[in-house]
Amino acid sequence: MTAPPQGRRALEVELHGVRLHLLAGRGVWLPETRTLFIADLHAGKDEALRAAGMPIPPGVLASDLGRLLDMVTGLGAGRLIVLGDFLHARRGRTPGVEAQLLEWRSGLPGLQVVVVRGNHDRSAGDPSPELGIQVVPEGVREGPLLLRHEPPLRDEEGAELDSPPPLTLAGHLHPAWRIGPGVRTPGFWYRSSTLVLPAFSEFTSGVLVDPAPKDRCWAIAPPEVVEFSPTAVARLASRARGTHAG
Amino acid sequence: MNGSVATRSLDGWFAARGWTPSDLQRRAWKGFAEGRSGLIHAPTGVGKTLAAWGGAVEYAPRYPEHEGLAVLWLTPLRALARDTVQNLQRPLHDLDVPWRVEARIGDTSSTKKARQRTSMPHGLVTTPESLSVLMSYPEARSLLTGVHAVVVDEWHELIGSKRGTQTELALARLRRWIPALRIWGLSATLGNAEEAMATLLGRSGADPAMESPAGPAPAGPAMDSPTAGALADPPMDPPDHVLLRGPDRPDPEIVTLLPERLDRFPWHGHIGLALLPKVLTELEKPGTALLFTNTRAQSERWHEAIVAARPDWEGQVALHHGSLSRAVREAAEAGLADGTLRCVVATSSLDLGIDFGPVDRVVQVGSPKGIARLLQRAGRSGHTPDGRSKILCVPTQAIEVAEFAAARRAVAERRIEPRTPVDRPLDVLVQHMVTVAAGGGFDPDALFDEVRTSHAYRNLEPETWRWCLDFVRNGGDALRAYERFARVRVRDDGRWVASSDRTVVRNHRMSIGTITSDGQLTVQFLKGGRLGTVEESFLARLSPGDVFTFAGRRLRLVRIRDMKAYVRLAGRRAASVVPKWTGGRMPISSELGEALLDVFDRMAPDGFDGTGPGDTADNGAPSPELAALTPLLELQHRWSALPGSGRLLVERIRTREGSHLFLYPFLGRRVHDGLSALLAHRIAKETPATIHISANDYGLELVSSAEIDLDSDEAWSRLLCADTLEVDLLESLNGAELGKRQFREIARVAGLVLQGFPGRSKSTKALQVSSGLIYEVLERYDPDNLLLDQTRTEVLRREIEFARLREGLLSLQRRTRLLTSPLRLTPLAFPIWAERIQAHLSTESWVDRVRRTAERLEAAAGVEA
Repeated sequence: MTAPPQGRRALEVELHGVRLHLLAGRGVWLPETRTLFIADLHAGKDEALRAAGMPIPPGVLASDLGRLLDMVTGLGAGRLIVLGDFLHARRGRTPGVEAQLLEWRSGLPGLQVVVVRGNHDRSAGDPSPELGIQVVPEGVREGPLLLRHEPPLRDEEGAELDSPPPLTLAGHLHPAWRIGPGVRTPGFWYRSSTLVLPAFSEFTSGVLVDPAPKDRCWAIAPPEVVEFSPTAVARLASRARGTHAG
Repeated sequence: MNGSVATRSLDGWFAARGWTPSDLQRRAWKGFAEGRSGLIHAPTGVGKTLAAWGGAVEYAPRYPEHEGLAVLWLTPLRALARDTVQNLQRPLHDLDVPWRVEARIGDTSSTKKARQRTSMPHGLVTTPESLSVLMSYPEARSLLTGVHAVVVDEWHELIGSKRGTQTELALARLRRWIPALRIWGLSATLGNAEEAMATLLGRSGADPAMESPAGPAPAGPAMDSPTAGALADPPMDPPDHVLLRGPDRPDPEIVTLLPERLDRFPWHGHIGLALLPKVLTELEKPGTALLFTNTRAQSERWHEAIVAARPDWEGQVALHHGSLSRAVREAAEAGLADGTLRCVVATSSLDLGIDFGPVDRVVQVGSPKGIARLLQRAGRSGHTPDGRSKILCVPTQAIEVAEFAAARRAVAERRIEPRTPVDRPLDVLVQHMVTVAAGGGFDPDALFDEVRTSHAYRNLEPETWRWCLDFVRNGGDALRAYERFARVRVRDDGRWVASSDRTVVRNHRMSIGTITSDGQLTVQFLKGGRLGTVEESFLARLSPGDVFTFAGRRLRLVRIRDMKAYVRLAGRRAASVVPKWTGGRMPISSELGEALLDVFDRMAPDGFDGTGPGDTADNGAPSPELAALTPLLELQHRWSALPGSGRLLVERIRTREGSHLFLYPFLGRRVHDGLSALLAHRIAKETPATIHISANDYGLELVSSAEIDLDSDEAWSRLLCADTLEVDLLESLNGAELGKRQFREIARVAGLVLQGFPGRSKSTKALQVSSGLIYEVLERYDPDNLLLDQTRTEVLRREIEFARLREGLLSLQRRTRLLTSPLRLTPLAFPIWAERIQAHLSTESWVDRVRRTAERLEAAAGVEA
């Protein structure tokens, strides 16, 4: 294991011959190309909920963008690739949200930003041209990687797929693990050539994943990223089960 | 007098059937005639429905001139609505009243609902939720001003819940619109009938003066005559409220099924199905039987065992619990009604007043948990007003045998549990405010006065009211209004009305009905047949491939998707888990706990000197339960001491595990859970040590590898100190986690999450967000939000039963401490110990270890004796 880049806590892993750093800040760092990958920013989610009459306090997007800015500058990233769901919904694209995104973007003039279009982006629409963001469809190649939003884990019927290399990076699922009774944490999940990233936004719920024995699982236990064996995940889940039974 | 003239047609109707109106019915009609409101407080089967309905119809404005809605009939259960409509319609024809009675509930078709809004029936049977939805329409007032009477059926089911609060708010609204409104509640036996009546009736809207914040108005004395109906306390208006108590039914016969021999070292569930053969003998008798269990899991297990033991009864034994689909439950109810079923295994889902005739026998498996509950279940047999009902009690643990004896005594002494109304829940209030804003709008001062006429909000502070106004208008406090959020807006004329965004109003209406629903997953076969629903929290603990028992079948989980759990049938032999539903472990009531201690008082200290147990049955002979339990209690007495009402038994026992401290407050499992966590927390603060805790309905255990020093009175009073109780409790119980769980309901009611969208479309899917996430966001970005305060209050009240715990702590301080140091685990300590070690062992090795330990202790006891 190498020292964490730029003081960011990270865990270096090698998947299909590609060396990656899994960041506790909910991203993946590819040192060779100085590229930062994140997934599921869901910008404007709270706005969309407020517009529908749900009293959610503002502040989430500012916090998410602040973390992203720190991460990009801390790593010295040249490129940022968002693996889908950059925006949450059309109703959430208020002038306030657009202004916040623009302010964040203008703080990073040298950064190249690419968004892989996710299911939310398809209904929310592409980011405003002023942001200077390149939008690409799912399935594009990026060096040794294939970029997607929805991981190709299951077919239409819900049956498991076994996808061959190359290594695919994806988001969409917001994977999370239960690491103790009532404690869940977002994490990275690797199955059959696909690495699923946790959702970047803190205003997202993690979805508990049930790993198979051949999978690999990493939990974000700030400030660290920790690998668990799938059996450990199952054991922790059952321990939580025992507590619940009481 | 006026009343006697007007009741002639009702008398005639009764006479035509060869019936005579009961005294209760006559008094209720008289109350209606005199324009009064009241509560009819009587057990099932004494004609409460006709008492209220007869009066309501008889004294309605003279038909047929009356157009539109005249009587509103509120029922807590949608399932009851259809039967109720039929029951209410029946006498109308003979009374020559050309009225229409219809239901309006969640699943009434939208065409019918729309038709009702243009042409209301004369009688409307509805639920609190559906009434609220009706009040959210702009024309609500014109639809409802013709109402002259509201009857709230099964008020005892509503009073302790937020649905009861919702009812109170709707009634406050109606009282303001209709000054002469009569409100009548029907309630089964409660320990706090006066409070139940005051809660239902509130006060008239005439006097907006502030009440003293000192607390709730004390309920007046029991009263039967209308003239005594005025409450003594001046702040509650003295309107003509009448509390009508029904004829007292004779005590039910409580018979305990005793095993051949009761073990002296019992553990939870150790009797289990051992008594099944005796129960089967009972079920073989002709007629229908109801077998009540305390949990849905237990009902699945008993149903499975009965069917396995008697395959020839195939199709004659049904299951009924709250998670089963309506079709399955209705089939069971129909089978009970027409007598085609031999036995229905049921949980409290059948405690509600579902209308079927009396059954031939009732069996209770396990602890009765409460006196009212046992009475109500027993009342399912022999429904005639003067028939004596009977209940056969089946213990699942030896000490439960004493509970049955205690319950019999408490019934005789009429020590019935109260149901406490909810105090000022803000989530229900903000929901109501949006409802009123949509239903024609409001003036804030006038609505404040109106809301304060309800019992729940009688002490609502103006400051809190202002926060609620800000919340529905801006989301947060006025200083930092949430951008783009508007549920309620203020019109130029100063009136507060709903947002002009139609989806906001539609979302609000959808959320009104969700007070009761929790995260439920539909269980269905891959091919489509639906079986019912299970709490999300249960299925989240299963993996695909796991087998579980549900709806009387063994099912293998295939996958969970879109709030549906897809299953297929599993083979008979597959090992399965039975779902543990939340709420399965209801604690015993304070009343039952006290009655138990009274029973022990009668045994000790001279109960073992040859004169036999002091507790006696009806005929003066020793009660069979106590006689059966004597060996256990005698050993408890010999090795340690018996608990009792004036003393707190504390046992200190050393084993290889370390130093154990057992306390027996008899306050119920939930209080003991909180108490044990609290005591452990406080002990660990003084002496750092790992302390393991355990609790059951009777007592609690603390065990530590280090010696716990509690010899001085001073150490005890520090430990049982009631100051800083709240803080210590939340610290010791992971208050944050409990808070998140409690917040689920609050978020739903207050409209912070959207739920219940039929066929969720893509656009609404983008609005799905979990309440846990909102809780975190609120804590971080709006920590002063009063809904967070409410969450904390509810955690204390519901999860921990704070008031009862505090009360218990104070009573423990008062009790004499009786400290013993037995050499081994005593009969009372054993089940608590067994429960604790269960968490660390597989089922097989647990049963094995518990059994071996019990045998060793039994041997030790035998040698001494």
